[in-house]
Amino acid sequence: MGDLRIKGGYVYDPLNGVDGDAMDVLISGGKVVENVGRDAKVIDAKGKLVMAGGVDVHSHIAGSKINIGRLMRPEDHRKDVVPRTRVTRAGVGYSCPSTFVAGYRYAQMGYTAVMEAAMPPLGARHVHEELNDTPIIDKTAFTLFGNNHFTLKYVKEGDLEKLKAFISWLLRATRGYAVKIVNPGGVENWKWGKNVGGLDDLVYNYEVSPRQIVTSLAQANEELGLPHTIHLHCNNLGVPGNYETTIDTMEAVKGIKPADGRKATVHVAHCQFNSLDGDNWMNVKSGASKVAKYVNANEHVTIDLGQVIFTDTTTMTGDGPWQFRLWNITGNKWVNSDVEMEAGAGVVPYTFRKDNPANAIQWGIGLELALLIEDPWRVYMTTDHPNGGPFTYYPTVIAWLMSRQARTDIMREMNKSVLRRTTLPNIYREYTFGEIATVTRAATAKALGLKDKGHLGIGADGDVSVYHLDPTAWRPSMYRDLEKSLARAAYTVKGGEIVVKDGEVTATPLGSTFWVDSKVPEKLEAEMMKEVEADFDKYYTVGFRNYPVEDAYLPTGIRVEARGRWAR
Amino acid sequence: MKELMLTPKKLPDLPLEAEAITPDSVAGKTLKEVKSLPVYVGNTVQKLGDYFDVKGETAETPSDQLVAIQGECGNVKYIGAGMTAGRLIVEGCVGMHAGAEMEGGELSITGSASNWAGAEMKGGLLRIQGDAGHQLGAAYRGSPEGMTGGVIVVGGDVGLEAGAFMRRGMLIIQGDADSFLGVHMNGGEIFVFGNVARRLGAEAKGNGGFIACFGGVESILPTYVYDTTFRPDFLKLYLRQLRDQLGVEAAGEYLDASFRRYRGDIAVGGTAEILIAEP
Repeated sequence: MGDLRIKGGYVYDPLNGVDGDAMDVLISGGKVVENVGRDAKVIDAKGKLVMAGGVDVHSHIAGSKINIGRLMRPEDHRKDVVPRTRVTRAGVGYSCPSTFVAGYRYAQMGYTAVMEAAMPPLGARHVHEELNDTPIIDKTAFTLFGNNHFTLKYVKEGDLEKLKAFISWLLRATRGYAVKIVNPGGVENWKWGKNVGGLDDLVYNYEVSPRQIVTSLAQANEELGLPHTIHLHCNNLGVPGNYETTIDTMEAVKGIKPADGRKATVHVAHCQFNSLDGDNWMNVKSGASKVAKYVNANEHVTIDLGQVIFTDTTTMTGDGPWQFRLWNITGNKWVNSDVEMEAGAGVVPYTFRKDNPANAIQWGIGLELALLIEDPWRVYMTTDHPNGGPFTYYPTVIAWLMSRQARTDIMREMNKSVLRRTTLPNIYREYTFGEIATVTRAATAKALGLKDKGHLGIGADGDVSVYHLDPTAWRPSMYRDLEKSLARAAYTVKGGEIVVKDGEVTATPLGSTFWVDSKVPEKLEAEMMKEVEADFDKYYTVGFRNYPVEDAYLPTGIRVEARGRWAR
Repeated sequence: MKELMLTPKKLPDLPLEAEAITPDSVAGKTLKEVKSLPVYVGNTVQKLGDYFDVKGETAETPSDQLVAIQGECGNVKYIGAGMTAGRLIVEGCVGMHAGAEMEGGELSITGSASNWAGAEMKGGLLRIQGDAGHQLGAAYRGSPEGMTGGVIVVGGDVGLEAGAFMRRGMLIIQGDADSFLGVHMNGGEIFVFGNVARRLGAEAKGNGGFIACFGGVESILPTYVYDTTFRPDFLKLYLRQLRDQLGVEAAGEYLDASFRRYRGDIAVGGTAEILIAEP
């Protein structure tokens, strides 16, 4: 792979304080460097927008859940058939795209790293097999912990040391990257047909509360020094009035000391679904301003949006009871999935409609959160693909963030509830290009602890996106041009290789899969393992030796060391 | 109305996929352009002219276009699929997916149609003088809605799952209907003048949908509840229209018939009606 000079573009690199300066980006050996040879290939980026490759902090692109979605939605695939080209494979798309198409489409938008946000430990092999078939982009997978038998057991016993040992082992065994928690306690109770209604309800048989689960995991997470904070899908998701639970949850982890080098102790995923006010779906209104107020005042919280898009999509979460509730609301198809000792999931197709008052409010809440939270380093742009809408709509969301006119234009077509029950019509803020680079790349990479991603400083990965857009001439009224140019990058460079040119995929290298290796004392781990193995033999359907993911499953795995107390 | 004639030459052994045969795709084109429209055989793209003799003239707009196919097309799929206007007449049989997702105009088939004829139809008139295969006017697998408009008239018998997931529109079957007629029906009207096999209306939600059976029913699901025998005026209006507008002669015989009404499918809280003519 030769050297590369991306010449004269308007560069937005907020981590290094570059805000629209016309400059060159030089890449050699897959990294950003200071100098390249005279024979370096030149990309003329004059008058174009240049940013680091996009980093998606929360998306569902691999594993059992999305595969259930694929199986149950042939109609979703029928309307979006992707023929093969000289370099790409055939596939299908829309809300549950096939693995290859997911990789291509992310790259076409200039994204080069995507986090699979929910990996049940028993499905880890499946997740990694699919990630290996997702080309171009770098990936990580977040392991589900919140309803795991051993988590609940150690939380009940109050044994934080063994909990740390367990987290450390399970992340290694599943080749996971972060601690994901989905409806803590609620999914375990769902195995008994119930849920939890708040932070202090109890989990059957374990007699622990969601509050204990979240705080214990957060404490352990920070003490282990994992690169990302806990990644939390709060209780009561999608229940009107749930903003109180969300704020309670954030408050519960406030006192925890963050790991070195960061201020955050919790990431609340797809916060839009957790910022509803009101008593029921008839009088539901936005609670976004209250959540935003709390986030503005408290530095230990980061969130992502889970922005709603008006389209036919497929909701899929590890939150079994919520998906059951959604099935009761919609009457659509429903699949429930139970992952024996560890987790659960559900999948229900859903269509967000402009004329539906609740959907219109949800749409408003996502944007309110983005616009009311002042610090772009703590609020990230996602659609919780495919729950709020497919990731292919990111350019549309960016247009809404950057242009009040874009928001006003679509609000005219929407149910009037968005005008009356959200504060969005009164918000005049418009994101700058620098802020967009922050919420889609720089801040997400920073929050994830991916230190070579999301920026273009010397030594960063050579992941760059170049768009056909002149940021100096752009005005918010030109939001349609913005959408078009962001949807099809002029160039996407991955590890120094040009993978997309003018919106067409030109090369399909296999990206890397990052996983976290954290250390606890050997004696502690041995003690914990003895207990885990005993329970394994008694209750699991798979043999203990067949459980951990082998290295063969990660041909391009990259080990990231946690920087906790016991790290070497 | 300008007429374009297509006569099959030697058709391939593999099925020929010919979405190109619609008034929409030929209107406004020269004959040469029509001949080079793409058709699919296996995984290859071929030209319409390779398999059909093309004669006649093309109109400016689809609504002025008549396309006539003279000859058997039993192995040609997607004839008239997605058409929005004009007329398409096939003198012979057609293969699968004929008139699938059509939105308007008229597709007339003198022979029989294979499976998935008129699947997910949105509007227009599909007339099949012979028999129709399975899944007539049905939803494709996974879709929540099948027919959402239009009229299908079948002279002969139909196979399984006719009108599955029907949402709106009308389905008239002059022969017999096989099992699972109107399964998951959620609106729309189905008339059957021959015999109806078992499990009609299974999991139908209703929404104003009904299945009127004039030639007897093999059995009714236990989740359909009998409630009355009556002589509904609305059905008389329907039947008169069928006879006068659509040429369904049998309809005239039942103008004064009384009907037994069953409601269901109560297994899913449905309010669909099955109306069975008293002998």
